[in-house]
Amino acid sequence: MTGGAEEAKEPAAHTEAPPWMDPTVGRSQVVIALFVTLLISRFPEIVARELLSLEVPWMGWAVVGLTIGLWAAARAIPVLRKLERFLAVMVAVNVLIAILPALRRRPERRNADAAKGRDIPSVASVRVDRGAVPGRADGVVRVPAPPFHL
Amino acid sequence: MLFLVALMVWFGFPLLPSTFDLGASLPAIAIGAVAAFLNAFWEETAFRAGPLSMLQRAIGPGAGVVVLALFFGIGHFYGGIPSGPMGLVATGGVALLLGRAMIETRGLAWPVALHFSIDFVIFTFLAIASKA
Repeated sequence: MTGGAEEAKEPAAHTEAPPWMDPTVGRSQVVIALFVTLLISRFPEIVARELLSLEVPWMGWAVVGLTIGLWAAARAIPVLRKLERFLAVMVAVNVLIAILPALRRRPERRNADAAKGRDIPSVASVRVDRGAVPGRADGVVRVPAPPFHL
Repeated sequence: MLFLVALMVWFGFPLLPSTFDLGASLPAIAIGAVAAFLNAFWEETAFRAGPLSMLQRAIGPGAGVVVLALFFGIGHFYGGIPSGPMGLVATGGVALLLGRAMIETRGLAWPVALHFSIDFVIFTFLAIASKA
């Protein structure tokens, strides 16, 4: 006889937020934050390189520009307003991400790496190839060492 | 701990030269430790503490950790160790753990320590391999 009461409670359980989500935050706000974060991450670069086979060395700076644009938009658009401070921090983060590979490509740094012979990124690139190309464990096939993140 | 052991078996040991002298490798291990600490501190400060402090105000701490873990995982698709889809998943998963540690302890010490332990394995084996 208590089944009716339990059934009445059931829909409420489905509308509860998952434990990792703050119940006071709207789901749409989380989706917007997720979408914005994907836009200002390396996701556009992955899509361009992996799906469209495009070389996009300028993408880091494009993402910086996009982040600045979104930050400016967040000051005006109510939907994005809650993300304004987050986007301000991400402008600084993305500038740092864009600067580091540029510093690595400076001629004096390249010469120093070459003088050292087997520098750490080149060792890592061999390891990456061994993992990516089964049967080619001799490390012959090498990709250029990308900017180094751990 | 299991992750660290898996990391050593999967990534570290194949990098070691056939003959390995622990005494001669001590400078490489020291370099690995310093580099691991600097990298862990830099990444936890720039990619977690700063953005998470602002994002949790907008969407809550739990969702903030998840969103930033995705950002961190995607950031390791190129150039991360490991890299590619595997790197995205592995570093994204670790970022969830580190983000949660940051929220629960409300500080940098635990995330940096955990991050350091992972980077120490990677950097040390890389440093030893680069000297071989």
